This record gives sequence, C-alpha cells and structure tokens, in this order.
Amino acid sequence: MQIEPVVLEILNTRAAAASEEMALTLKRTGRSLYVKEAIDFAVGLVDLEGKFFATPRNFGSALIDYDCMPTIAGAGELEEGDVILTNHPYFSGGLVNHTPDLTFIKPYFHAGRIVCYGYDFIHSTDVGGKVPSSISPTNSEIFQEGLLIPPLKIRKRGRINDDLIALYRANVRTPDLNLQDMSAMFAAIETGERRVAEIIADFGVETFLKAQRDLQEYAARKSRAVLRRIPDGEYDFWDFMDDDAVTPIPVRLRVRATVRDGTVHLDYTGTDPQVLSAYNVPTLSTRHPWLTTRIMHYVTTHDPTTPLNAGIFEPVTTHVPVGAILNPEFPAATGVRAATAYRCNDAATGALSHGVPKDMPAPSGGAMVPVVLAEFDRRTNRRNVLVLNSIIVGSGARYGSDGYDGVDGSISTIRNTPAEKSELEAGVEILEYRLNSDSAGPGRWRGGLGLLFTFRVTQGGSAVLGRGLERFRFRPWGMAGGRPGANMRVVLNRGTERERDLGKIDMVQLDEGDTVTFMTPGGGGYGDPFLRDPAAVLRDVRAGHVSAESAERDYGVAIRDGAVDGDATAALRGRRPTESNELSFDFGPERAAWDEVFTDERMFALNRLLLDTPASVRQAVRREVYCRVVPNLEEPEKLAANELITDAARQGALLDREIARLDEARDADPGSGRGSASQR
Amino acid sequence: MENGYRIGVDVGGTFTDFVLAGGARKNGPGGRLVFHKEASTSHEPARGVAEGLATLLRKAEVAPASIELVVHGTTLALNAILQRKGARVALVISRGFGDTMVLGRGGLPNSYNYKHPKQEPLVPSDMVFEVAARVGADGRALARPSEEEVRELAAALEIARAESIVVVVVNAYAHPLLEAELAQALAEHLPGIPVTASAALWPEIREYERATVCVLNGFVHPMMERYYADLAVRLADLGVAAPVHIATSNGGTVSIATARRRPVDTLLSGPASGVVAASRISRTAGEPRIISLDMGGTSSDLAVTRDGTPEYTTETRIGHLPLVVPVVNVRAIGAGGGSIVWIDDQGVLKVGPESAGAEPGPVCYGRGGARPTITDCYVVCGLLDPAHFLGGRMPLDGAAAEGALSDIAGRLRLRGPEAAVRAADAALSVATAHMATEISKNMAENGFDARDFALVPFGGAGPTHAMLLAADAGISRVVVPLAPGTFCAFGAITADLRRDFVRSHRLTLGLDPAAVESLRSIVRELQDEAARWVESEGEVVRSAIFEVSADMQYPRTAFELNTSIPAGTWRDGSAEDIAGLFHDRHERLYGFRDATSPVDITTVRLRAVAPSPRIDFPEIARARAAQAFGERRVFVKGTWHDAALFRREDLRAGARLAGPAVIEQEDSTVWLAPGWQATVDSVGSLHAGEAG
Repeated sequence: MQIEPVVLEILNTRAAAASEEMALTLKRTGRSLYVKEAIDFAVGLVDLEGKFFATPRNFGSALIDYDCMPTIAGAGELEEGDVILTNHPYFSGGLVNHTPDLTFIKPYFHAGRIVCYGYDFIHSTDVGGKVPSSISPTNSEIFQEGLLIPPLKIRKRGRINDDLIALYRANVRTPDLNLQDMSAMFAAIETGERRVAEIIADFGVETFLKAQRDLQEYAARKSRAVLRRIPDGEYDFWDFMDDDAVTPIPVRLRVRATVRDGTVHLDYTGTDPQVLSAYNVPTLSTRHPWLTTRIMHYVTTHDPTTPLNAGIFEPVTTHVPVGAILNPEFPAATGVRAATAYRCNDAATGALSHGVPKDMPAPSGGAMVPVVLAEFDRRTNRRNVLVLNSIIVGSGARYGSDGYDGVDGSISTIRNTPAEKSELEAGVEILEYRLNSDSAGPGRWRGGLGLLFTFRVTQGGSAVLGRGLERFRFRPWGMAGGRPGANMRVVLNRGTERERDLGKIDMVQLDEGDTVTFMTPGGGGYGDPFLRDPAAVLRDVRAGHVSAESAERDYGVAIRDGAVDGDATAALRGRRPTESNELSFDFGPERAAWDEVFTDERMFALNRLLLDTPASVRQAVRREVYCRVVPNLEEPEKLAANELITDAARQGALLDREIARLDEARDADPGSGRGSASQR
Repeated sequence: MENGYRIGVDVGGTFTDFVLAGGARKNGPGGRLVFHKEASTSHEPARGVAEGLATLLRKAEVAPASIELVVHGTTLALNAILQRKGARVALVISRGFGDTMVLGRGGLPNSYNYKHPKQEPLVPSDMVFEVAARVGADGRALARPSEEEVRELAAALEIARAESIVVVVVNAYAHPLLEAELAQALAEHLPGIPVTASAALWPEIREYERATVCVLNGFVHPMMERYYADLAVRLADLGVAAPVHIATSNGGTVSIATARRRPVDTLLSGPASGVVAASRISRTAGEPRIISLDMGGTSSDLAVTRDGTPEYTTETRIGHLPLVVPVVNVRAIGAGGGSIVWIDDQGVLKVGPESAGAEPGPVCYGRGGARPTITDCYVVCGLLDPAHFLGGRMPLDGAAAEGALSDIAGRLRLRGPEAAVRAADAALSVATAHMATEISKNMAENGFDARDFALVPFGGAGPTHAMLLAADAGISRVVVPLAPGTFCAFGAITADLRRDFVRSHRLTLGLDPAAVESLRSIVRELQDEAARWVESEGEVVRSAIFEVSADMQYPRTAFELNTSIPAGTWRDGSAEDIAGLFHDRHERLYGFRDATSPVDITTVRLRAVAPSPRIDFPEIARARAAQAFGERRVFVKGTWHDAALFRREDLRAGARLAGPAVIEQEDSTVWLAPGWQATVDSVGSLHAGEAG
C-alpha cells in the first residue's frame, strides 16, 4: 500500500460514505416498490480497471465482485457527461444478470481525464417481454425477458439520448414508473460524482487514484488473513434444487474448493448443464459474485472492518464449464438466477465447512418466494394481485449457536408482511403465522425453525401462487452430526377431512372458505442432537418448537410431566454412541437414496457428456436419460427424492448404460458437440 | 413579585444533571440559571436525584417551597430494556400468533455477519399465552373466549407469576372492544397486576409493532411505578411540593400520573430533551436550521431541527426492537469520548466501534483503562487540560494517556518526541472524518445540505470536537450553548406538555365517498380524547393546541408519508383538498405526483401540545473585552498552535475572540479553531464562524 495508513483510513471512510450517499439518494428519490421497499438496487464506485473500490455497507447484501469493463468498453469512447445504460446479461459480461436490472455507469472526470466511474442499478418494475414484470421461471430464452439494451449512452455529454428513450418507452409496460426510477439513478450517480470531486479537492487526484488500488489491496490483505483460517486442502460438495420449473429433474450444483495458504479456487465442474428455464446464472466465465458470496460473508463476518470492495476477492479464483447452469451460453434465460445462486451459496458453504466446520453455518431452509394471491377486488372491481406474505425459512445452526428462528441468515433479506395489513388488502383471514414445529434440523445446536402460515380465503374465485418453492425433494442438510431440516409442505384445508398436500404449487384455484398452509423448512442442525443440553430440549418442547416425540427420537430426551426424565434420557442416549465427527453431514433419506444412483463419478461423466451434446438438443437428451433411469420422475405426487429411487442398483446400472450410450454417440460424431465450441 | 423556579433533572448512566431556572420578576427580564452535576446512583436512583436536588437548592439558595415544577428525564427505563432487567411480562395474544415477538419482521440484524448473536425476545415463549380472541378486519368477532377460558387463562398467568400483562388481539387497532373486554376481565381476576390492552395504549395497525410498544411498556411499568413512588416520597421529605413532570421521547413532558401508565413514551427522553434545548437556542441564536450534536462518553448523537421544530421519526429502535411511537429523530453517528483507538493487523489506524465507556473509561481517568480513547487524544493534543477536567474535580493522568498513544504511534511507525501527539492527532482526524461522513449521509437521506445548517454541540465532548467536525462536514457556523454539559436537563424544563395520539383506519380519498366524513369523525374522537387527557394533567397546563396529520400513500405502495392537515382543511376541506396536501408533499420530497390516483389514508395522528410558560435563557452582563488567562500549545491537524486560554464564565455578552483559543468551563472545553472567530451573544451562547 502506497498511501500512509491514516490517510488511507480517512479515504476508506470517505469513499464508502460517498457510495452510501449514492444509495440513500437513490432510495429517497426512487419511485417503485423495488427501490423503496425491497431495496433491490445497488451502487458503487469503480476503478479504471472496472473493479469496485467502494460500496455501501447498509443496503442489503451488495454483490461486489463484478467486472464493469465489458460494459465500459462496449460503449465506445467516453466523454464528460456521458452515462452508459445496459440491461444485457451477456453483452455486459455478467455485470447485469437479469434484464430488469437497469444499470448505469458514468465516467467521472477530473481535469479532462477519467479518474473513476460511478455505478448504479435498480430492479425496474418491467422491461417488457412475455409476462408482466418480465420474469417468469418458465422463460427459456432471454428474448422472452424483455427489451435487451447493450451498453449504450443514455446521456451523451450531458444530453439525454431521446432516441433510446423513445425505443425504450415503446417496449416496456411501465415506462413512466421506470423513467422516474431512472431519474433517481441519475441523481444518485451525480451525488457520487460530487463527493468524488470533494475527495480529490481535499487529497489531490494522485492520492485518490492510488487510494483506489490501496483500498483494494487493504481489503485483499484482510481477506487473505481471514481465509488463512481455512486449512489447505481440496473440499468437495454438492447440493440440489428440486427442479428447473419446466422439467421435474433435480438440478445439481457441484463445487470443489481448493485452498492453498489463504487462496481459494472454486471449481464448479460437475454442475448440471444450463436449463431451458430462467434459472441460469450468467457468469460469463468470470469470477462472479454469485459464485463467491459465501466467501465474502466469511471474510466480513470474521473481520467486520474489511472494506467492501473487490479486493476481498483477490485471493479467490473460480471456474465453471461453459454451458453449465452457472455459466450458460447466450441466449439462455436468466430471470430467476437468484434461486440458483442461493443453492450455489449452500454448496460453497458445505465445501468450505470441510476446512472450517466450526466457522460455517448449516444451510438455511432454502427458499425465498412470495406467496401471491390473485382475487377479484370488490372495492375497485378489478383483479387484485398482491403478496400475502413471503416464504421465510429458518437459519442453519452453527457451532455454539442455534439458528435464527423464522429468519433466513444466508443470502435472502426477505421480510414478512403484517397479518393486519394483508387482511386489509385482501379477502383473507390469516389464521396462523407462527414457527413451524419440528421443522428445524435437530442438533446439539438446532436449526432455526421455519414458518407455518395459514390463511383462509373469504371469497370464491381466488387463486394462490407460490412459484419457485423449494426443498420438497431434498432437505436442508445437517452438519457435524446435526440432522437435516424438514421438507417444504403446502397443504390445503389442513386439519380437516379435506386435507390434501398440494405439493409444489404453481397456481391453485381456491373456493370460498378454503385454507392454505405453507410449512417452510427450518435450517440444518449442527452437532449430534444427543449432545444437546436436555434443558434446552425441554425449553423447546415447552415452547412447542419441538414435539415430545421428536425430543425422544431425535434428541434422546424423555420428557415426563413437563420435566426431563433423567434416567429415561440416559437410557435413550446410552443406546447409541454420540457422533463427534465434524465432517459428518446428514442430507436426509431423500438425498441418500438419490446419491446412491446419481453418484459423483456418474454425474461427472454424465454432465461432461451433456456439455458435449449440441445445446439445441441437450435438455431433450438429459430429460430422456433421467426418465429412463427414474421412470416415475414425472408423477407429481412423487416429490421426495427417495420415493423415486425404488431399486438403486438397477437404476444405477441403467444410468451407467445411458452414460455409455452418450459416450458412444459422441465418439461416433465428434464434431457435433460444443466441446468444440468451448475451444473457439 | 418573583416567578417560581423550575428544576430540570436528567438521570444518565454516569452523571445526573440538574438545572434550576426562573426567579425573574413577572413579565420582566432576568431570572437565573443554576447548574449542577452529580454522579448517578444506579442502584438507588431516586436517592441520587433527591441528594443532588438538595445540593442544587443549597447552591442556588432557593427554598424548596418556591419550586413550582420539577421536570425529570431519565434513561432508567431504557437501560432496563437494554440490560433485560425488567418485569416478567406475559403476552396474551390471538391464537395462531404466539410467535409474533420472535418472528418480528423477519430481517437479519447484520447481513455481513452470520455469527451475529441471536436476539432473545423480551417475552420468553413460556410467557406467551394464546387465546381464542380474534377480530376480523371488518370488526366481526371471529373468536371470543368463554368465561371459563378466561378464568383458566387467569389461573395460568398467576402460576406463571406474571408481573405485567399485555393483551394483543389481531385487528384490535380498528376494533378495540373485544381486546378491552378481555383485558378488563383479566384485571378483575388478577388484582394488583397491571394489564395493558394494545389498542388502549397505541391503536396502530401492524400487530408486531403494536405488540412491541405494549411489551416495552409492560416490561418497565412495575419498576417505573416503584421509582416514581420512591421519588415522590423523597421529594416530599425535601419539602418540594411542586408537581413533577416527566420528559418524553417526543420532546415534550407529561404528568407523573401519565408517565406511570405510559412509561414507553419516556424511553428516549434524555436525548430528546437535548434536541428541545437546541431548538430553543435556535430561536434565540437566529439560526433556523440546526444540527445538534450530543457527544458524550460512549457515543455521539445527531438530530436535525428546522424552524424550532425537531425532526420526528416513527421508525426508531430500542436495541433490536422497533418503536413506532413518534420520537425526536436522534441518531447515533459513532465515536464518543470513550471510543477506543487501535491499529488493525494491516497497520491501519481505527477508532471504535468499541468504547471504554465510563468504566474503565479512558486511560487518563486512571481507572484501569489501558487502551487509548478519543478523550486521551484530546489530553495529549492539549485540547483538554488534565488538571481542570470537571472544573478540577477529576484530575486526569496525561502521562498515562501519552504512554498509551505512544504505543499506537510505534505501530504507525511514527518516531521522535512528538510521536504520541501525532498519533493522537491522526486518531482525531480519523474519528472526525467518520462523524462528518455520517452527517453527510444523514443529510442525503433527507435531501438536506449540511452547508445550510449551524452545528449546536453539547455533552461533555461536543464543544471540544465541534469545530474539527464542522470543517470536515462543510458546516461554517457553530453555536455553543452556555452550559453544554447539562443541556438535556435544561431542555426538559423548557419542553411543552405534549402527547401523541394515533388511530389506524384505512380511508381511500377519491374512491370512498364517505372517506372525508370518516376522517372528520376520527379526528374529533382523537381530539376529545386528547382534550380529556390535557384536562387531567393538572394546573400547570392552561390551553392546548391540536396538530392533525395522517399517514397517506398511493394505493398498493407500501410507503407511507406523514402529511400534516391544517385544522381548516380537516374541518371543512374536500377529499381533493386533503389528497392535494399529500400530492404536494410527495412531489416536494420525491419530485413527482400521481394526481389521478386515489390516496389511501392509513393512520390518523393527533398531537396535543400545551405550551409551558416560557423560560428564556437569562441575559448575561455585557463587556467587549475578553481577557485570556494564559496560553497553551495545542496540536491540531499536524501543527502546533499557541492557543489563548479563556474561562467561559469570564466571557461577557458582546465579547469577541479569535482562534486558536481554548475556552474552559466546568462541564466542557471549547476548541476555537485557527481561522475561526467567535462572539458571545446576550444569553452567553458562543457563535463561532470561519473568519472572513
């Protein structure tokens, strides 16, 4: 670091504050709910290499590790007063990762030269495309996800590009709302520009330029120091999403973390190929923030003074094969990429936990979707579509602490809706909004409990939507002897004669008086539950968080007449040795059955072959393979993965045969695959 | 004939501050202002108050009988909550909602720290009792407990040894009857245990937030009852027969009777009183826009006052709990005098967030603190005279401070005899840069510009740091009140009687033809309730004014904007007139309006204000000349300055000073930076500004 440490700390404060002021300006002047309520926006200051050197701390969980250079270079020569606009995931090199994210970059000039760039984006309400709001899990091509804007100048030398605005207005459903949000984006990016000018006035331009590098180096040193906590080694892990919304095939995310002296390489080879839905994460073969979120949180948790800039990622490298769901090829749809990134984060957590089991939490319940009600609004005589509440899950346990109950501690910052508000806005009664008993993974430290949300519709003709619900097939796993959390459930008319599990719903029509119950998974447990303090188990039983049956079965704690029965507990716990292996994961019976057929070796082979299959037929081939190996895969009531594995040996052999068949087909036609494409 | 005297008391964690004011001839100028500071007695707080009060009366030579009002602010209740030392509160809540206090709104306290400690709810789960009591949004009773169920519930509450009971029925904010009946029935079964119905205390929509207001209230209710009873006895023993008012978080006061019922209204009274005092200064000093800075031992708090009115918020937090009652918007902006200076593993100098607090305190306090703090930096740089801290009552160990900062200097690779001084100066620069950026951020959040504001520093360290901070924050004027160390106590006695009333009720202007009539009847009900309350507050109060406002929004947005509605408009205006107020405010704040859209009113608010008789700052004698009593070398921003030394009590009205100078006073030290000038106004406030 070139600058003396006192000045560096002051510049650290000043640069971070400049970015926070940008965020505050955007929040204050923005119009849409995405900006005002969901805080679905980001800002930052970017150095001459396109890397973030300052981002705000107090706005959600920013994604810092983007490369802005493709966007900057894509707009051609830049002059004072220019502002670049893009929303193109592929042409922006992954800076944008779904089309609603309108993104600005403005070069900041001093004495005729560019000294850094300002950046901001908002998730805009709609950018056109197939469905309102532009995003649907079932979109298969990015062209269905709205107007695509490559890096273009929306302002040239301070003058608005009216042609671009006219084209834009003609292509989106909510142009006025979006343009008001864009005004806020201009205001924010200009706030940053003013603050940068003040910093230069106070410290000089040369010091400011050096500081951009020094602040990243400072963060890099802190990051490296934290990452040295992880012992050298190679750590493998994989986790699953239930499916990709258009096929019932689970999506596998596989990572190998290679740690050497505080550097981490994350290799996602073995991950499933890109899908024909909107779950693809466009990382464009770069070290991308969606791949490295867990590492950032690991660093900031263990050294909270780490400046939030790209330096955090300097000790980190990544690799994802082209064509995988985490590195899709144009024009794969990317609208709901966050759902995949969420699970990718769980997988990275699992991998790193091999090295530092005491530092890593078990996974959260693993879903983040709104529960949406569509009804006829008698007040306005219009169809009313509103978010009744949000699916929030419990957090994973970690060494020394239970998970947060009813709070997701991973990457979701979703919040709930007051029942009194929902009842005012919609024809519903909220019957229950409480913690979901026995949903948390048992453990010496148990997972945080998921939620139980029941509502009754008070008028007919309503429908409930819960697109993107997760953890039906596989559970949030337990760590270090801890047990997995419960599966997701959605139940119609729970506790009545008409009770029925709805399974994975898309849209369900409801009759007047019907109730729907969402039971969300808790987080995974940590440590052998037989080692849990019986008093803590008793507390949970008394609070209704854990049933007496679960206390006996899962914790080996016998509770009689509201107290712990010491002798019976000793007897229960004496029946099996306690586990003290920090590297013992419990994925639940679903995953155990599935992995017996779909072993890591087979999946490596299968996915390599699938990536060599032409993109146009890849998903059809994949579906064919799975349907042959798992004949009842497409039966909607067979949700849990272990119900799909009826004869693991036979199904394994079938899979081997399919792999061999694909191998032969490739050998027969070596030029057809996109193995060649990757060498282009 | 003389007016009586008023006494202000502010009980803080470390010190209790007293101020006595009044004694002017009726309708005449003059009057006196006497200050006193005493260590707090946290185990027996009323004793400390009574003893300090006795000392103050002796010091002022005023008879207890000539006291006409005592106004009291305290952080007792707040500290009890932060330290989880309150009553065993039982929460009785509609079936299905027993986990409301655990769930909150579901957010994470800190998304960059997944090891952030779990927050325990104020009511443990075994003290939550679900009950079959439920009202629909339309007011229909969906479930009503039988007498038998109520009896069983009361028995269970007794077995649970509940000391305070809170009843929350979902939708009671709009339809309070069922909840009130249940609370009444429980109170009859359990005499002697306070029972609070949520809608009786704060009828605002959002069950978690309303329940939190009630639980906080119930948590501190018994201890505050005991405290106020103890205090009353001790004051009577002293011969003080005057009524006692309690300072509130909204910058007002209420009678002790109200405060006993509604302690939740008093939680943040200390900081709020300081802002009220600053708003008074605002008038006398001719500074319409003020940023007040209360810099004490553990933190610095910031608030904005415009045209004599502080900014309010309904989104504050007590620890991790949201508090939705309106309070003066006071925000912590980081370092206080006790903030620790340290060097991280990468060799970079940091200040805070850890604080040495009052115990062990800064190194120079000599109470075992080993890590240097901001106060140690003041001492080493010469900004504070170690021999005259607290008027010489608490000598500081300057050598120890220097030793601790030498270690810092060593780690910064600073060499030579001035290394410690340079390290101290560097730490002050780092702390100042941080505070200045916090001010900028606050301004950005509200769309203000710091350059339009004057800074009013108070608290022990505020005046020492103010001009360092002003320069960094782009503020060019600083007004230092006469007694910055006891400013909050002064604010309390100048505060008006004030209480906020609320009623959530959705009305849609532009869609619902009866909306305006409904609004009028809600306001009238609130006004009647407020008038009855004012009446009951006693003789100190004469007449009250009522300020009406409403939280409004465009339908289907979740972002409400509180908009004030003048009396003429709510009485006689049309729906368009009222909606117009919202459109205007929306456009002013956010730059656009949606004039064709209906407008939802979600919550109606009414504030009752009964102005207290004015207390002016007494005028001080005039004299142009200000006599320095010496000179001291002060190291600031990398250079030594020969600063003239003044005593605050020697500065008369009209005096002019030029920086660099240090003005010492019993409760603080003012640093007048080089290039700054100061004049003393008629009530002793020091107006400092950049020369030229």
